[in-house]
Amino acid sequence: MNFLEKKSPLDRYIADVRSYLPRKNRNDIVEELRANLSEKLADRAEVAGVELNAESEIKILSEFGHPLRVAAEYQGSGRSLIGPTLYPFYRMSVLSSLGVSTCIILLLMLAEVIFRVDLGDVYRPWIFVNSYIYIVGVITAGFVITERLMEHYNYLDSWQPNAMNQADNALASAWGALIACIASVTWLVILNLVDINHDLNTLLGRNPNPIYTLVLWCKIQTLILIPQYFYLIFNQAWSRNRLLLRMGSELVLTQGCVIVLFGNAPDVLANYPDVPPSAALIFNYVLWGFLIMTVISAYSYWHKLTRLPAND
Amino acid sequence: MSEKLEAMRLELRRGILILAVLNALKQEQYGYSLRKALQAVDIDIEEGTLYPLVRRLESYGLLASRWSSDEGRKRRYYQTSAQGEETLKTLEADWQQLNRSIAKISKIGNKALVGNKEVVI
Repeated sequence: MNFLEKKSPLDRYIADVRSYLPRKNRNDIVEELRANLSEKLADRAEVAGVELNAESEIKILSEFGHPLRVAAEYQGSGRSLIGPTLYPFYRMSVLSSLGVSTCIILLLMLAEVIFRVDLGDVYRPWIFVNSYIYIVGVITAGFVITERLMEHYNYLDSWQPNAMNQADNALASAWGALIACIASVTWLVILNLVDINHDLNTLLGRNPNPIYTLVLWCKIQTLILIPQYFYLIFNQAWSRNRLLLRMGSELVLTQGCVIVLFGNAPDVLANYPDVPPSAALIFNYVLWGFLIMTVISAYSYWHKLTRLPAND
Repeated sequence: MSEKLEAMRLELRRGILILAVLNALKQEQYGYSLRKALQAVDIDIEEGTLYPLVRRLESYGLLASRWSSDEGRKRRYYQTSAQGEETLKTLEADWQQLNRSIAKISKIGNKALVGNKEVVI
């Protein structure tokens, strides 16, 4: 058949199905499908006693179903990006992250109006879209990797009732860990909206803007925390090493707060002259708040660690 | 409810479709003739579901296939393989067992209903 010849409805239908099929076995499937459909058309023509016209052919082919559906049936139960086991968690993670990031961006916009602070591009409308894409991408990648790892290590099949956490050994629930994970990813995305240099000078507080130093330390801490929260979703039992790692993660931010509070960086007011002194004071309170909270948190993990049975 | 009922019926039929196909293909058939054979015993299955299923069963080794142009048309014929026969025996035994279990549980359920005087005769 050359391109000047008009294709029959059967040819067009077969070509459509073919285009949706994977390369492997495509020709074989199409050849067989053509044979079966030709049989059907011939049978119908025989019953009707007349040769079928294009309209009748289309009607008969429509009984076969949409080419996409037919191709899907031939492909069988192909794998999906996120399977049904993790999908409810995935959906909840995406929705809650989007909700949280919307609230944070709205708060930033509100701060701009109240304090008349120019926070750069952080609150521009396109940032909504940008941060949503980041969030969905990061969460999707996390879930895809988790699902593949679960399959690889037969995680669900290897489950044993006696492997369940003892009530007094589990310091978190799976849902709590999931929420912490979502909050961390969202927090990281928001932190990424601040345009900072990831260098030693910023890390050690030599950057003229102390906010940048704090943001960098927050980023480091969040990056260390996310995998821990992720693992915690599937295993809530605490071990000595996990508690030590968590304690270390808290102290990372403590370190950042100390550098900003007691380092040689200029005051916030030097960078943002339009900011009222009250806002600068709030920044200092926030820093002290972070410092105290991280120290308390690190101490609580240390306390738990000392109470763990020796064999853990 | 009718949509849900239809979905349930479809699910129920899907499960036993393999039994029907393996049985029907004890005698060699091509795709369209298999569909007609199933229709003749009131198993009406969409072609878009049947043909891919047949291919899947072949890929599992339960069916053997060959292309032929004996009757002037190119056709792919399928027949239940030795492995398919073995599988069919197992599936049929399971099916019989399920039927007996359903009959038993249905009997128990009906007795309970009569006992509670919830049946209006």
